[in-house]
Amino acid sequence: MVEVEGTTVREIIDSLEKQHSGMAERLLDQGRLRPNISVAIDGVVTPFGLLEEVEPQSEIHFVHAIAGG
Amino acid sequence: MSEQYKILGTRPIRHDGVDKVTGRALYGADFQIAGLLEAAILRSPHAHARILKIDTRKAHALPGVKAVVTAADFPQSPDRIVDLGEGETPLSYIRGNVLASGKTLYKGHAVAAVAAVNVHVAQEAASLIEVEYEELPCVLTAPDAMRPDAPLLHADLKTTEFGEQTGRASNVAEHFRHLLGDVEKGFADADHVVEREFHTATVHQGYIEPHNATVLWNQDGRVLVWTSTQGAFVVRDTVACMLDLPVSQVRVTPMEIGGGFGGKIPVYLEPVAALLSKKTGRPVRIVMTRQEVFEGTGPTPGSFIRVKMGVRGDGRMVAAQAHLAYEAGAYPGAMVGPGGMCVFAAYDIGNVVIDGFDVVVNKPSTAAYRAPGATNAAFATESVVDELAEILGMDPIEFRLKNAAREGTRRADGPKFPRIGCVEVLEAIKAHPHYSAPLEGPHRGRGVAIGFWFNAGLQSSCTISVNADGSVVLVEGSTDIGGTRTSIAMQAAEVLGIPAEKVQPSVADTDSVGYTAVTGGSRTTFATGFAACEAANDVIRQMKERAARLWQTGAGSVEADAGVFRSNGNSLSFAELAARLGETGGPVIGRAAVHPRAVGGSFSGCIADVEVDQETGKVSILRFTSIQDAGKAIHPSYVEGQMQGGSVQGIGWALNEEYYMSDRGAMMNSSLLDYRMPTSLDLPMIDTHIVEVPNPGHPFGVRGVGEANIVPPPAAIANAIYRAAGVRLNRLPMKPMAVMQAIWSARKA
Amino acid sequence: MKQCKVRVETWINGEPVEFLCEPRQSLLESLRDVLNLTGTKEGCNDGNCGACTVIFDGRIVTSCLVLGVEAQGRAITTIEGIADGAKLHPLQQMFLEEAALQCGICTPGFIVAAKALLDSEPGPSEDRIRLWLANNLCRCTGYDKIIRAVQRAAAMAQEVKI
Repeated sequence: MVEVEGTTVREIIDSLEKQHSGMAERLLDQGRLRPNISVAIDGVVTPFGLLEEVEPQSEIHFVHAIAGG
Repeated sequence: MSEQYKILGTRPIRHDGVDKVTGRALYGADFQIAGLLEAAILRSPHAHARILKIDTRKAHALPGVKAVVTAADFPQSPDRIVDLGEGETPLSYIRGNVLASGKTLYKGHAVAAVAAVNVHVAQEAASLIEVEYEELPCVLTAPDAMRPDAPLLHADLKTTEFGEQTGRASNVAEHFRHLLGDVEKGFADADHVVEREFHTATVHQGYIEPHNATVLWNQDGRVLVWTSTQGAFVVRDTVACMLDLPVSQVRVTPMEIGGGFGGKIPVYLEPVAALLSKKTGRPVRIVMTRQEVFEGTGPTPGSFIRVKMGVRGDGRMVAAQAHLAYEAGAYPGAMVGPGGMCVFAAYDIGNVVIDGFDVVVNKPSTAAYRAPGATNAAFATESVVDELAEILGMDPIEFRLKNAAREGTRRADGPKFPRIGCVEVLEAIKAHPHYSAPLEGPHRGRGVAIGFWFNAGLQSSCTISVNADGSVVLVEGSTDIGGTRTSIAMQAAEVLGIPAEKVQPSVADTDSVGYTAVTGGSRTTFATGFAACEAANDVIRQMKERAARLWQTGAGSVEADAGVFRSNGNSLSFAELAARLGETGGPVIGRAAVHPRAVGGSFSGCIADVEVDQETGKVSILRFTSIQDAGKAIHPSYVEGQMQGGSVQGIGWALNEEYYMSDRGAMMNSSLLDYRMPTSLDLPMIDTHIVEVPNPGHPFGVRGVGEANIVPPPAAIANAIYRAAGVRLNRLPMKPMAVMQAIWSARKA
Repeated sequence: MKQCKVRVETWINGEPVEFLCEPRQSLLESLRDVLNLTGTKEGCNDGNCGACTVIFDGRIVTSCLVLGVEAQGRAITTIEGIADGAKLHPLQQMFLEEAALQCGICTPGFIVAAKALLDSEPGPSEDRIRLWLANNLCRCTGYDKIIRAVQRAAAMAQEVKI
């Protein structure tokens, strides 16, 4: 668990990259969120991906994107 | 949500019911079109082989043959990473599974296809295609494929570990890890630790309708597809991608579908039929044989799982560890990720480590099967939980309740749970008459287990047009596998305030409705229902404006409630107002396009009573109860049906179903005689109890129910067998010989 | 191998029918592809799923294991012949009311098989129904609601008789 700054998920990832080089590569492909990754804000997967706005104190998780069968 | 609903919770006859009980409904293989050719596919007899040469001359020479295709007929565009609804994959992998190029990676891997005047000529022609193979050594289980000296399936596959590309060539496509707290400290604190290993065999979704596709590559360049699929837009995107066409050039018309359970999400036949249609200028149909369904489509992964759990003497779980190695089949993409997210999902444990491995083996490339990955994991966890409960001398449900996940519980994969119904489902099991019913007689035992599935949200579109007689047409894009056109129509009816029979639902083709994701992931009643609600709200808003115009007042002063529009003493029913749309401005069409965010996961538990025959090892199910959190059951009969269907698939998975493989990678039981699914004679009635913990993310509280019910049955039955026969089985299926061997071993000891 | 077609005269759903089929074509294939009676379904083509069940001179058969030419002179009932004109058969009505179908692909086979049971045995027990229907596979419902639908249809048939 790390603390970063940012008001959107994209900014969060940029922030993360500064703290841990290589993170952006793992999450993004050509500037877009990798299709097998979902973003969960406070436990809820967002349909807006990188564009989602976050509140201060939000928890952001990058999880396997799964649907089902 | 204590409101009384007029429509929700009732049990109307499904809108497509009459067609389905009279044989009039058209499934994919029923589609007729002038000039139709039939095709057959030639498949590799080897589990792992290099293709040296393909000679199609004799096939071409057979009278009645119109075209032959191989992988060479695909556009030879450079490989790239694509996402076709199942995560990132190289395009070469998807094309390769449809028609092999270079190597065949499993027995049944498609190599060539023939179109002819009828299916018999096509099959004969396919057998005349001569393929020269160089056989290669094969690997058939995850542990074998993970050994350093294992033969490699893909020269370009390199392990991704913890999100980073290691550059190491291997059969392990991915190794991920979830970490929470400090497991070493957790286990050190534990008073009791149990660690067990489990093996589950490959099983198939077992839908009764084989895959089918009819494709016409029309003279205007458009590719027209008629198919039984869980996702018309996935078919469209995949066909367009594989043929290097823009999506607008492909139209997919979904026919009725005879079961899917996840297995009809991947695309197998449409691109092949398209290539044959392009060559012949005629529509081409391919229907799989049952053997092809087993050998050429995606079953669910077999797996090797190790679970270790530690508890304190007071019953509190303090640490948990899981190693999940799932067989992906020939191409990466085993559903081990979801397995890792579900394996301990039911419990609040502060110290967890989960390692998941996506491993390729020489078996058909796996596909999703109803809560994919979760059933394997639950078989392991719920067996260990049962053992710990016994060691502690605690009731199995009380033990689970003491550790149950709740809103705010942090999961090992990171996020905290929103509002969930784990505790409510456990309480419902405890309170159910089955749980406390006496079970008398020798060799009889009762077992319980709980399982979880996340459920999906994803995108859905919907339009609702108002007819002058007060009925509406609802156009949506979710193929109906289990009655969802009705559960969706019911939600629109509830919002509009009209009877469900006055909503005429229609599942449309990809030219006629907005993008809609798959019918799968327990998302359809939730997300397409959500879209229907929004579209209905749009209709109400517009109707209010029309009433306002009639009454010459402001739209803001018009109220709509239960199908009646009112303002200042004026009132009109929905039907009365619908009759006057022409004079108030024209048609009213409501629309919505949604991607709902707050998806509600579903917990499901079950109670199984079994009897174990001491001479044959046959396990009979005496009584079975399925309990599940539906959030809000829109049409209770179809919710019950999902619970019963998933439970019975779980029972088959537990007791009899498996891909029985030769050591050369051939499935020996690729027929419905020997791939032993449950029949009506194998089962009692399946009792159900619906729990409703509303999902705040849906207007009516809906949680998807399709999948979680398949997750607990194998573990519950294993736990019941233990109480009936004194043996714990750690391998699926728990078939009669396996049970006898366990009993004999126990007697010797 | 080109086969010469055989002319078959038969009765289907109470009507005289003539058709041509190759000797290698099954009755299932003849019904679906020659006669356009697509209500009878193919699930396995080797007699193990029951989706192709038809009534053949009074007994149920898996039509995938009967040759088209064997229909000569016989009386066959398919799902298309179960309803009585515009009125659904009690089995069809009960399947709808009991929600005894989800994807519906196995439903024609079940209804035809169950009709043969109710025509020959009024008031069958649950065990008898389960045994009779054991060759009809359903993957969606777990059979519970199917059995209940058959039981209700049987009860309806008995009421009518009284």
